[in-house]
Amino acid sequence: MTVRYAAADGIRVLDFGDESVVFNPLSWDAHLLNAAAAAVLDLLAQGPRSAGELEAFLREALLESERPQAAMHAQRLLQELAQLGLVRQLREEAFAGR
Amino acid sequence: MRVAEADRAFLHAQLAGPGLALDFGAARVRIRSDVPELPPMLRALYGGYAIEDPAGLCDVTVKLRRARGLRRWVRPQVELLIDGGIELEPFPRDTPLPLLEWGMNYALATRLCCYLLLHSGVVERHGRAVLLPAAPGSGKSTLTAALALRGFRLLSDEFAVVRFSDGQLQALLRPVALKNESIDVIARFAPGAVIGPRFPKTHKGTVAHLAPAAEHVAARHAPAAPALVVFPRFDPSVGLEIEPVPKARAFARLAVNSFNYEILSPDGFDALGRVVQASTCYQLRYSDLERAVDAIGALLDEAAPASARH
Repeated sequence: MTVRYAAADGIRVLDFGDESVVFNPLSWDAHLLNAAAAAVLDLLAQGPRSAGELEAFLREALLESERPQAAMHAQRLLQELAQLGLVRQLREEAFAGR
Repeated sequence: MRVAEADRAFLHAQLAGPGLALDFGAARVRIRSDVPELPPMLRALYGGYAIEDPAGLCDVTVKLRRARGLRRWVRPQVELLIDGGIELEPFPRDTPLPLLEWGMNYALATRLCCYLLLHSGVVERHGRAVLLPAAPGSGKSTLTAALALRGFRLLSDEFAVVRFSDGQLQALLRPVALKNESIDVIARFAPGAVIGPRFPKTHKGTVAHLAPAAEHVAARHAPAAPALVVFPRFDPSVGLEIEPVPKARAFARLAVNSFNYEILSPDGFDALGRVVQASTCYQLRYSDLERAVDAIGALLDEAAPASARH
């Protein structure tokens, strides 16, 4: 089963360049994100992605010396964004018909 | 008729009867009182304000009265009713104006939810506003007062009032509360400044109030566009130090300094975002007031108008 991830519905993002501020409409909390986290969230706002796709996306953005850790970075970022309620995990049947 | 043109008997009758209604720009307040010392204090500090119809719509009604019962005789006190209820501790009888001013701040901060309210001084020049958000004791009021006495228009010493519709700033213009050494600092800085009576031994030390200039009162309904955010801090160990503050960090600091951001989100988030996106942001540490005023003027001149960015 492939697990995919999507940005939570209704989040608002203020892009200030190096950092962004994201508003979660469910918790009414605002979160400060670094550029990598904001880029991942932006990608997930465009459509659901698998962990592998996110890893590939991050690998492109990382320095060559950091690329071996891309999978770990992607996993950690997804976990943190999910904990903040900014990313949700999609069950297979939720996107099977798309 | 303006408050300065009303005699003591008229002001006393208004305060004891239907109330003295004043328009601060973003809000109207109806003041009632049986404290005989209050009319001349209000005339000194609110002289430039028109006396509005007390039967008209007001956002808040406050009533400053002498405390009843034993407190009439033993360590007499004054108490403040806000919309009919007592929400603050009474003050000693000889500090009616500080209680009225702090009480109005509290009342407006807790009731004016049609705007995003940031704890910040605000001044403007040529329609472009400078926000001076800071915690108490940081020198915010002193710097705000100094700017207002050097060609900037004062919008507020206490509140940045942000409109949801367009992110513009409204005035909530009242006297600037100066504390302790700041009173003499401002008196020396601008010998012509109208500063009301001093109230020693308040819980914040000695307090006195700087009256807003008549032209600022007259312009209190003109909004201003946010252009510059300066987090000030008085620091006797430096002359002047200025550092840029990243916008996302400025957003976080402003949100923490807001009176009602949390209860207004997501509208608060959008309104604050507009303010930060339209502004350049700095932290300023100062001990030399003249240099700080000049520096803020220069930063405002350098800050690109919102239309010139993205």
